[in-house]
Amino acid sequence: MTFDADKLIRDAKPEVDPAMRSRVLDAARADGAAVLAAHRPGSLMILLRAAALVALALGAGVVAAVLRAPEPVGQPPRLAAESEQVEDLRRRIEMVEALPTSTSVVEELAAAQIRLDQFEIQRLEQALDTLVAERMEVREQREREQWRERHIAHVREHFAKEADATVERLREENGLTTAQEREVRALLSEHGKQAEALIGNCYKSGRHGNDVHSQFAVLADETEKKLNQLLDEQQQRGFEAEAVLGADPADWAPSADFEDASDVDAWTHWMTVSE
Amino acid sequence: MAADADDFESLFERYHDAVFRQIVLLTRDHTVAEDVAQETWWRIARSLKTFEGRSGFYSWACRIASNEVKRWWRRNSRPRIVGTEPTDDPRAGDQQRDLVEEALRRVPDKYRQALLLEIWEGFSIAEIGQALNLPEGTVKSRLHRGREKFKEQWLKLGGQD
Repeated sequence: MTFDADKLIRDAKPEVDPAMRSRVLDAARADGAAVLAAHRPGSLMILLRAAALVALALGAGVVAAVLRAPEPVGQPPRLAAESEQVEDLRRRIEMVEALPTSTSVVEELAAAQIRLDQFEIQRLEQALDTLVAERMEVREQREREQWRERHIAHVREHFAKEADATVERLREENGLTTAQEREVRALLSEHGKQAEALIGNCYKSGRHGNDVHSQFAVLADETEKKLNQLLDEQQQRGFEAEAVLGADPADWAPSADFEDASDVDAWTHWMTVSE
Repeated sequence: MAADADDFESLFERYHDAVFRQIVLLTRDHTVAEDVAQETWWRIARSLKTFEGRSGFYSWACRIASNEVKRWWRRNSRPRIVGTEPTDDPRAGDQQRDLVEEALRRVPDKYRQALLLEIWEGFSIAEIGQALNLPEGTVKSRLHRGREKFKEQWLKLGGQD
């Protein structure tokens, strides 16, 4: 019985519910903008309190996130001290707001105190921002290195198989000679190494935009020209350049057989920097 | 978006089912696939003006869909471990279908997209070329390689020749 791929695939075709299609279209049309709850204007002290508490909550949230980050040694003393200072400021603001507001002198003192506290909050937030940014950069560098290693290993394995399959096809179907085979293999090997170098560069410097596309296209074009000089006309027709040389960065993507979350991240990262 | 509403509507009409089936293939769960499809088309609607047409709309849409699948997994703390995921497919339990779907998942994207546009969506060679922004010769090559790769994976997974 002849293997019928089309029938197998056709029989596995998923159904699409028309009602689901309408729901997807409605969701795509919906305005996705978030609506912020309106803030009711009140006295100066209520507004300043709200702004101060939001700033403190943001700072405390950032501190909590940084403190949760895995570190080879204990939490730096600077962060712990600054977290305590943020808490102190919050308690001070609450105390000031609890003061009676029956006299204008007390109100002026309270407003001045809040302004001073907010300057201090700004200074602490900037220090926290710097620390968090430094910590995140270190973590991201480690992640990128792991992704790069997995990516290169995957590409190396699969390109080798594609190159072998291509040479075998040329030999069996288009009469590739032993001498030609040696030269074709050498060219393909060099092509693979240059593609790996392009991939490695993306992990050093993040997004390249259109540069990545043109770099892979130029590499594929150059290798194809060199290969065509080695092959006769029939062999050139039998050589599927597009299948093995990979002019599109997507042809050099990391493995999509995700075995863990890091594989997912590596794939997504490649799709982003190569888009 | 108002200026591109007609483009978006006609693209949705033409490609929604094809993109949805790709998502079902990746997620193996119709409920999850609907959520991902909503996010995907929401992003397409908002990014349509920046789409340059270099890769063909369908390739671009499938790429967005793949990203959304990954994002869904990350949000739901479910790193996808091959072969261990439960499924919400109403036709679950059909071993042959499971095997076909797994074999298709292992076919490289560029071949799978062309193959499924022909077999599942009934696109002609010219229509596939338009969807993927490829010349017809390349489409035919991808269809041929796609069938080869599918058979290779099918046999590796224990399917009958």
